[in-house]
Amino acid sequence: MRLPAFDYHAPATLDEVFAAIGDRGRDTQLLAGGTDLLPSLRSGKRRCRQVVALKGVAGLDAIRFDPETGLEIGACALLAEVQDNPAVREHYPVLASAIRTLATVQVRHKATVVGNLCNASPCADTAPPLMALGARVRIVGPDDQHELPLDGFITGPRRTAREPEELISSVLVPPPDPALRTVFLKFSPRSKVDISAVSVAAALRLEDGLARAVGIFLGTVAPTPMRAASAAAALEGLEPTSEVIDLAARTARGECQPVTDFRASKEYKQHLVEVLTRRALRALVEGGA
Amino acid sequence: MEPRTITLTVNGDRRCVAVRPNLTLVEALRDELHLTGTKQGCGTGDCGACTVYLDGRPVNSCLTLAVEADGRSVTTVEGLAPSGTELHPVQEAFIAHGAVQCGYCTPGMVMSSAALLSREPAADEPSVRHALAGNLCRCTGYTKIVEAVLACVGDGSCGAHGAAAAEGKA
Ligand SMILES: Cc1cc2nc3c(=O)[nH]c(=O)nc-3n(C[C@H](O)[C@H](O)[C@H](O)COP(=O)(O)OP(=O)(O)OC[C@H]3O[C@@H](n4cnc5c(N)ncnc54)[C@H](O)[C@@H]3O)c2cc1C
Ligand code: FES
Ligand code: FES
Repeated sequence: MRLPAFDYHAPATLDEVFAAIGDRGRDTQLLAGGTDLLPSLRSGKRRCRQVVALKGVAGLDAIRFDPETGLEIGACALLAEVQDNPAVREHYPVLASAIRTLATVQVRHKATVVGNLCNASPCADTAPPLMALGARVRIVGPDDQHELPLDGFITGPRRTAREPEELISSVLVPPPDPALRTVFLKFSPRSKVDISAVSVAAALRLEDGLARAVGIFLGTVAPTPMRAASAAAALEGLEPTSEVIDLAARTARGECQPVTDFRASKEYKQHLVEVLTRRALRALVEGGA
Repeated sequence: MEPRTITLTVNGDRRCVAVRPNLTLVEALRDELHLTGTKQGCGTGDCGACTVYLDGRPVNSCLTLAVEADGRSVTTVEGLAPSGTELHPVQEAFIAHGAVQCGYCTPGMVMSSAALLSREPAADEPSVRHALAGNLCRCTGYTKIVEAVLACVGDGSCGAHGAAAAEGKA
């Protein structure tokens, strides 16, 4: 089946991007890798009159790491490039391991991290680990730019806090915290090339045997990737015994709001949330991750 | 929605072609450039039959607009073999190991396998299976395909060919 017709622009600078968008933001789709955009245009889930490709915009493909300021992943940096980046592997292994589970070699060589976030699917696999790392997004418009925490940027299925005439130029990850332990676990019925039925990212520090800075983030079990705040609170400041971990995992189960779909029933997803949260927290406490 | 003329390098040759913006790369390769080695299966990124290299990277040509290839280099299965009389070692191995039945998945399988071997010349079975996860085959049950790729590991030849093809020089 052919794609519906649209105009196409391939600007070379951000100014040209904003000129191309003009006041047609609502009729425009930005094109990064196109691995979400093309199928959704074909199926009619998304419509647009014009596609504005970001690939040719100088500088948007950069991946920069500085121990003082952290990691910046440009809008056109490919998933495969981020996955293979030495600084990402060394300082943010949870992100590299989440990308490894995402889609296929071919998709990872076309798709971007920023596209995964802007697509705003509850199943976006880079969202829970990036939220656990405290990432922010940089939003650039024709006149100014600002940053928002990633936690809160995705506001609903296919909806973000971005205005139609704005774009995300990069994702910013804080400097690495060597004491912060992180892990990402994902379950999907087919082990490869499958959207997650449930995913969990967790982070914590162990200070004098107590769990601190606990963050638990769940994918695919709510309209957006979500922070399991009560589950994290059930662990925060406590010694992570197996009873405490079990309670946090049960709390996560109670906190999530999954719906039945063809991947799994609501009840099965709730069960998976509990199991994966328990496994994730155990892995962090046992120090493997 | 007017057609626009793009210039791209396909299997080492510069080609100019007029395409509408909504034409995908696989449609342009097959219908405009008459390179029918690349297959379209699903059209949604799931089956890998349409795998080509874009600037040396294996991608789904059904998820790529033809206009995105403007100024870039594309390698298709027709460009993988080093010459008109020789096959790429992965292609030889697929024949030797009976890794082809109906053949529809084969161009994509061969492209993904060659890309893997140029990245990871010492790939083991789990990495072969991981790398081919984006290529579906309805016929072979995969065992013979995996055997064929593993047979190329260590003979050294694949890496070199793969790399040359990956740079669009093959
Ligand atoms: C076979 C297959 C398997 C997949 N498996 C997974 C999986 O396991 N896990 C998973 O999470 N995803 C999966 N996906 C979905 C998809 O590949 C990812 O979400 C990918 O990261 C999207 O990135 P992209 O660059 O291709 O985005 P695009 O398709 O280019 O863009 C997606 C959306 O974001 C918008 N957008 C892109 N860039 C920007 C920007 N800079 N600023 C503002 N808006 C922007 C676009 O306009 C569009 O609406 C899969 C897809 C396929 C085809
Ligand atoms: S036709 Fe492109 S992945 Fe199936
Ligand atoms: S040989 Fe028939 S699909 Fe693979």
